[in-house]
Amino acid sequence: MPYIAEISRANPSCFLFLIDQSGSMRDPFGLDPSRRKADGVADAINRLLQNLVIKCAKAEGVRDYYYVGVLGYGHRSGPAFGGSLAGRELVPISEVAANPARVEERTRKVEDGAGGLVEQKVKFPVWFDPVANGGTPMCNALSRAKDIVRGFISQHPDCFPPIVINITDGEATDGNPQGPAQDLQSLASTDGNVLLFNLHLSSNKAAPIEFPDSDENLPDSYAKLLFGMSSRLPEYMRGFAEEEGYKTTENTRGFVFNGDLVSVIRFLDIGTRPANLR
Amino acid sequence: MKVEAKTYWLPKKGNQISEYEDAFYPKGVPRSRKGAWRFAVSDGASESMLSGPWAEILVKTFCRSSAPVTAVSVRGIVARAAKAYESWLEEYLRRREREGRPVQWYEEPGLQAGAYATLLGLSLASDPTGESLRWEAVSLGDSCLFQVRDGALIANFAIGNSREFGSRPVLISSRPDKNGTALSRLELGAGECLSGDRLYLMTDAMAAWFLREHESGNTPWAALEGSDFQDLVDRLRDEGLVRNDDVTVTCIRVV
Repeated sequence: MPYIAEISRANPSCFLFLIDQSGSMRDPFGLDPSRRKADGVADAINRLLQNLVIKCAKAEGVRDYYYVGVLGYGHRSGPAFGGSLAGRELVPISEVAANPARVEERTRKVEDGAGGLVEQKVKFPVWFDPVANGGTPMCNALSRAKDIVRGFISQHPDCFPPIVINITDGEATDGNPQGPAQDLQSLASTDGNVLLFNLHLSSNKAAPIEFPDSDENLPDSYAKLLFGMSSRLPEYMRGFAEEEGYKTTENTRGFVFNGDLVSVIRFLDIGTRPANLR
Repeated sequence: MKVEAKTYWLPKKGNQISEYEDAFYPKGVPRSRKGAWRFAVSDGASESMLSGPWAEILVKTFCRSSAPVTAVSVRGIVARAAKAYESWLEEYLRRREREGRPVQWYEEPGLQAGAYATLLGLSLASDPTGESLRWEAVSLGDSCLFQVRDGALIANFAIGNSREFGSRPVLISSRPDKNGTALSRLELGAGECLSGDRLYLMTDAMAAWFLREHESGNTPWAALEGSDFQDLVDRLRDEGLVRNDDVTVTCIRVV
């Protein structure tokens, strides 16, 4: 049964994020035209990294359960971390934690325990600012991802299979990305094939669709293409997804349209998670 | 009657001893108070922050109580433990500041969410005839108690079947406002112990193996009593029969 390998410091796994930084990302985001798609991409990648770091955090340190890479694709393509991580393809998660570009303070509303809401200040680390420039060489990005992931698997052959998350508006300008996506997904550790999930941030005003099991209700051809490129959720992830309130079937795929993919971090199993921990 | 006990424990393979997040009490030779003994094990959730210290506080608070094991007394124990944890946490955070290691952004959500752990508490008290002991136990979460007499398992508490173990148990939080569900699910058990009985308190990894073995018609207590603990756990982990997790087993002998 695949996708059961333990994720530990001795047997880490890998997360590789591909972020679309093309000129089309300047266009307004469908659900909130006051924001650009590039803002949505920056927000998504920062929140995914933040949640992944928090998932691996214990008191006094972050455990290197994952190696993390971010590839940008657009006018310039390649490793996209800045600062002291610049140029590096895969970085232990503890170094990601230690090196955000800045940590902003934001406020959020939380329950006050007496039926009301209070504002609470929370720290929000920022690794990436919005970028929108040039074409959308998604095929090239998927091919580079394949090289990076292949290298990781050769060093960690028994790892929980690497997860690649592509955040895009779906409009590739260097060909049909289906082939490179399949090539990437054909890589495997002894525990299963590489998982490719897609977050589609679109100018289309259609409502969010999270983890669908068919492309029937998807609003356009880009969404259908990205759905088709996305891996099916492994059985154990479906279990977590069901606990999070998603209805799943064998065909449920790691695809989100105009929505929130951060829940994927909660589908990861790195140890006992209390059911009443929220 | 006398009670002898010894606890065996190991951190998850690949982890340091300092990263062990189960807890047990007492640490040394068990002492009776007015003819009664108390034991407890707790499993701190790996996905919560500071769950090891919280587990430690829970087992100590349970064992220092002398009230009969009832839903009301256990609620009191959990409330006292939460207060003790709050004081401990304040001192811990002050120490971090003093030592120039203030809390980082990635620790804050976990600290706000609270620490989470199981509790399995056992009380053994002499009955008036002096010929048996009465056991009373409480379980919150998936740590287990087993009672073996004359080579047979005669009680398993509070998990009845090895399929009931999962990675999402409802646990006790250091935050009282998160404990509604956990406290509503607390299990109480009781029974009689005779001379020669063995009682075992275990956190979930070993308990799941113990129950599975028993369900297959085997006698896992014999393996436990007859092996070096480290060798046994190494073998069971290598064979995939025990999940790689912190393990804790308290073996109690009534004589």
